[in-house]
Amino acid sequence: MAEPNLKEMAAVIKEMRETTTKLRGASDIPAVVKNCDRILASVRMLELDIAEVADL
Amino acid sequence: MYTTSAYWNPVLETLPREKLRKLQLKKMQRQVQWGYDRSKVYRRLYEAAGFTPDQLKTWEDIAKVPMISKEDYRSAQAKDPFPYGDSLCVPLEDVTEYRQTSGTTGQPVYQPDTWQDWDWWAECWAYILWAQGFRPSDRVFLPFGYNIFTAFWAGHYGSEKLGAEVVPGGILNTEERLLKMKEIKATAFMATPTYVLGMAESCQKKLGFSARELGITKILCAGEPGASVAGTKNRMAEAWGAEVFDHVGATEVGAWGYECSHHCRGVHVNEAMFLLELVDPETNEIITEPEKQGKIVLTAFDRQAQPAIRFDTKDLGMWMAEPCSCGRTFGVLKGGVLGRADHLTKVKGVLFSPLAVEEVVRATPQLGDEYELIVTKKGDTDIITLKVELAPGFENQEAEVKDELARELRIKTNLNYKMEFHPFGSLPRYQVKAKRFKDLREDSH
Repeated sequence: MAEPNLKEMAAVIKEMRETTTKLRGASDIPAVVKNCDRILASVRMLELDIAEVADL
Repeated sequence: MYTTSAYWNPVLETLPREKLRKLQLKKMQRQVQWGYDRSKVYRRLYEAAGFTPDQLKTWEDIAKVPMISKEDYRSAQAKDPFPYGDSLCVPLEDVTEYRQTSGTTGQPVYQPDTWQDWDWWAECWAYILWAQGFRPSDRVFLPFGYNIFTAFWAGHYGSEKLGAEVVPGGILNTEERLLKMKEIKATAFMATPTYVLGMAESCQKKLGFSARELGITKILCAGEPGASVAGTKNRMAEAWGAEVFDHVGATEVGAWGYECSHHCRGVHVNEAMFLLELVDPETNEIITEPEKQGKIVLTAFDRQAQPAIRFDTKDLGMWMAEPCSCGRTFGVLKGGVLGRADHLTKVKGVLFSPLAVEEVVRATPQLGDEYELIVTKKGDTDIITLKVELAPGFENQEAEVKDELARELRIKTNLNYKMEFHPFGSLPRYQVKAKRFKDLREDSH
């Protein structure tokens, strides 16, 4: 398997955060807000695992 | 295929040390600022020491950050917002998880976590489990009554995260758990070393078959240092015919250390998620050289609701000189956690660690798994009583075992013991954290 391109992966993770944040703010529907919160927690794990290393 | 990867996250687990240090400093600066801005208890602690986060510029500056202790949390809690008080760093409505410490050393510490914190707990456990060979094909049995304590909730969520099938065995008794493990063909389980041994004994004694017949391939241990004590680990591996792994964590900190499948006789510190410092108990100076014992001080870099920033665990450890052959760049603590600083006590003028006695007892094949260690005082003399059981089949060997035990204990601890041999099965059995060491000297005056 080829070496992962961390910068490219970090860019995708950033898009995921932006997209989810946008969806979370799009309504006051509890089902949307709280599911987005869970997605954002998982996105945070991807940031810790990948995105923050890409910046080093 | 991702399941063939030796690492949960090769990016962090094999990060060159220089980059790892850079990442740790960056995370430390962020977390110290978070605690200072959001938590009254950290703000008070730092102000009292004349410390501000902008003083943390270099790796060496980390030693300037004041340490926090369990007592600091205790005094900050049970106030508004109840029950976390001044230690809470997020709005109360963001807290989704309540756990607490066991209270072994006093008033329990309440531990809040947000959902992100809880996902982080599971993430840290996924690092552990993957390194120990847990995979999506595993069926993991949890023979433990889940409750207000962290154990083994995070193991459950970590197993799920990596894709394993998790079977909660909480409400069942020991025999029912063993039978369920057999029925569903569990491949792995998690328990304290004490309970791992107790289950094997129950299997043979009450169900009439060997635990080896259950087909368990992996056992993850937590809660006690036993899985890093060679004699205890060998007993567990022998009783179950399985690979036994140690893991270390704390409710206030997180799951910070793990043994990997290369079994280098130590635990890796997940240095991407935690900073582990060894501190000289007398001088508070940082110990960086290997083979020198110090107090373990931990920082969880990414925990939000109630962060642990330079938390004084009062546990003891030492760095291993050689790297592990697994390829991880994370540092290794030789022998895992080497005991508690507050259990390290002077008996007859000699510095004494109860863990050294466990090493001797568990390496003596004629003895059962259980023992008790009680220190009392008669006049000015300290007396250490060691209660043991002869294993079935060795009942007539008391005299020779006594001599062998006395000799080994003398070599290992420089102390003499009053030895008591009790019938097999008569000493207390424990399911969770065992309390085998009792220092009754204060009470005996």
